[in-house]
Amino acid sequence: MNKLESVFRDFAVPIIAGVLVVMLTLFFLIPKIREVFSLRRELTAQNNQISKLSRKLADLKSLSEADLQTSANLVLGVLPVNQDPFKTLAVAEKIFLDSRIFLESFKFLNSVASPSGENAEEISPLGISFSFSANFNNFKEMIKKTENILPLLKIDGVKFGSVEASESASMPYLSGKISFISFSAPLPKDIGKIDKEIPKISSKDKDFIDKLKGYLTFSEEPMKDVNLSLPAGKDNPFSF
Amino acid sequence: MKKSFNLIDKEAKQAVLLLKLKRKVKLFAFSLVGVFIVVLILVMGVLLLTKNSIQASQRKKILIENEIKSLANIETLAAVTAGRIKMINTILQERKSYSPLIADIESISVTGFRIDGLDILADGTIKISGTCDSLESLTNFNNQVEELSRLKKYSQIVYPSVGRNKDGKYNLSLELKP
Repeated sequence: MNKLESVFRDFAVPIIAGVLVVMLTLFFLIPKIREVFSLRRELTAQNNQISKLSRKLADLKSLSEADLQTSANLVLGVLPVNQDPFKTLAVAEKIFLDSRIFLESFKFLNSVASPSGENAEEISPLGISFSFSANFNNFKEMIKKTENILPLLKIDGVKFGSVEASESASMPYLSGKISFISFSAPLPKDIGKIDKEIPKISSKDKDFIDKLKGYLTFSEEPMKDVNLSLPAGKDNPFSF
Repeated sequence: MKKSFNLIDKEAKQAVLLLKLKRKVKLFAFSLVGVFIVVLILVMGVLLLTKNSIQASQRKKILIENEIKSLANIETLAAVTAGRIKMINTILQERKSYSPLIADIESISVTGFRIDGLDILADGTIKISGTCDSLESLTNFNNQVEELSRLKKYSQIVYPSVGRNKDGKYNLSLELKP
């Protein structure tokens, strides 16, 4: 019996040590190894995010605030934030006056077809119909001015009520109705998550801005820098 | 005859075997513990280093984020400008240019042709009615219309009516569909 006890005692320590090692491996070491892998993944993701943020920071630093302010002022003049019917009227009146067209009356239109395409759902149209009379050349000048004025106007059809022909010239004296549509669009609600890339303004966009600079501008007062401040970094703008 | 048993030898052999087994078990157990300790140290070391790296990169991230936040005005201006450019392009793509239509009306207004009626619809369709005072002016008018047709400026060009009146002049109506 004593011999058996002695044998058991001799093997007990290694067996207990082995069992302890197995238990510690299962309940401590393996969870720690899993934690290491999970943390490595987190670190990789974080490093990727840092490189993304660094690129964004470099992009932001490369942009000129003054140039962007000028461009933003221009595009906000082309497509204003708020619909201003009186400004649209004033612009149209100036076009008619400059083209020596007699403006008889105007009427705001109840329903106007909204534009379709990219971001179109954010654009609100406002339609105004004008009754006018003019000779053909002045009418032509008016069309040209309308297509080259800021804020942007769209001609939504011309209906001539009467065309009085003169014997001396092939171009008649016209009277009819012309519909203009002016547009507005709200500012974006926020500029998105902090790691979102900055919207790119391509060289094509820069050429487009330069082209817009060549348009006629209508302004009642000198254009001021528009103060823009949008909330940033919120994933869901509707969450509280 | 007396039988003899070599008990000492058997016991000695068993004892040796047991001793060897004990050694092997001990060696195995200690090796296991040793490997466990080494792996544990390695794992804990990597864990500590990774946690430190995460903390360092978090600090770096916060610094960059703060720098980006300080440039929020530039980002806002870029977002507004880029967004507006897209919207303006949408409007301009849809906006029918009336100046070429007016130019076309002018191009078909040859000598001897007089416009009596004119409509430009929202889709860009031109409806024009007029009078040509001679066959020559009618021919010239039609030549100009054919030129427009040749240039494929319109999908459909139709004369709904052409007639000669009592005065010998030619009344016509023309539709140019984009």
